[in-house]
Amino acid sequence: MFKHYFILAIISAIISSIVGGLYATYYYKLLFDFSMVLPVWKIVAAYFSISLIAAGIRFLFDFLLAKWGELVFNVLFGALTIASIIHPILMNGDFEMAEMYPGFAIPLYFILTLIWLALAPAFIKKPLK
Amino acid sequence: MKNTTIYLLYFAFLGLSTSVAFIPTDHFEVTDGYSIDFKSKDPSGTFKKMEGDIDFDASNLESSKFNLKIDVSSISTGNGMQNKKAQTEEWFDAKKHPMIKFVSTKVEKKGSDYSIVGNLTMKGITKTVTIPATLSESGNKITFKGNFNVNRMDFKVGKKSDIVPDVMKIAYVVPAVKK
Repeated sequence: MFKHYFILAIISAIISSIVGGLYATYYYKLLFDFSMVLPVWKIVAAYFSISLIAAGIRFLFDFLLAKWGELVFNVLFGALTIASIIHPILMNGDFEMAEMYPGFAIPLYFILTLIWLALAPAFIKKPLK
Repeated sequence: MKNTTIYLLYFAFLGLSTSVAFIPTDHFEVTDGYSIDFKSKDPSGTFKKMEGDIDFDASNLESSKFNLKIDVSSISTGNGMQNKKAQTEEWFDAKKHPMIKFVSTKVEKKGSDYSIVGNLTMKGITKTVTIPATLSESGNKITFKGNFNVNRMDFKVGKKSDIVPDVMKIAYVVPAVKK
C-alpha cells in the first residue's frame, strides 16, 4: 500500500525538480544569479526530501484518520506551504541583491505542493480504513 | 516489490535528500594572518585588508563556497605615491569600486589540493578565474594558500605599459576560523 505513496513522492519530486530547476536556471541567467545562495542541486534535494516527508505523513494520516486523512493532510500541507514563505521574507541575507531574493524564491515554495496535491488523486485512490 | 524494500528505499531517499538539502556545511570567517600579495617586475605589494566567509566541507564540496572581499584602499606597494596612484580612476578606481570581490561557483578536489572556480570582480568587471588552493587544518582553523595569475588588462586596471606587466602574480594565504 505504501508503494503508491512512495511513487507519488518520487514522481512529484522529479516533476517539481524539472520545473523548479528550469525556473531557477533561467532566473539566474536572465535576472540575477542567486546560485551561491540557492544552487539548483539544493532545490532538487529539498523537493525530494519534502516530497518524501509529505508522503510519509499522508500515509500516517490516511492510516490513523481514515477518510478524514486526506482533508486534514491537504489543509496542513497547504497551510505549511503558505507559512514557509516567511523564511525567504525574513532571511535578511548578507549577499548582493538580497532584497530581490524573496521575489525569486517564493514561487519555488509552491511548486512542489501544487504538483504533489495535483498528482495525489492519481496514486492514492481509496482510504486505508 | 515487497513492503520492506519500499520502506528501505523510502528511508534511503529521505535520508540522502534531507542531508544534502538541510544539513549545513561548516561555516568559517576569515581571520587575522591573511595576506594577498602581488608580484611583478614593478610594482609589487600587498592588500592589507580583507574580509569574507567560507562554507567548506571536504566531504561535500558541492555545498562549499567562498565569498571574499579585498579593500582596494588598503593597497601597499611600499611607495606612498604608487599607493595613491593605484586608487585613481585609471587603476583600481577605489572611489567607485572600493572592493575586489571573489565569489566561488565550484570547488573541486585536485589530487591533495583544491581548485576554486569563481567570479573575480575588479573595477566593476567580473571574470571567471580558477584559483588553486592548498588546505591546512588545525583545530577549528583552516588555511588556504596558493598562487595564481591575474591579467590586469582583463579588468581594465591601468593601461598597457612597458614598465608594469599585464600579468600580476598573486600569492595568497587565507586563514579562517569556524563560527
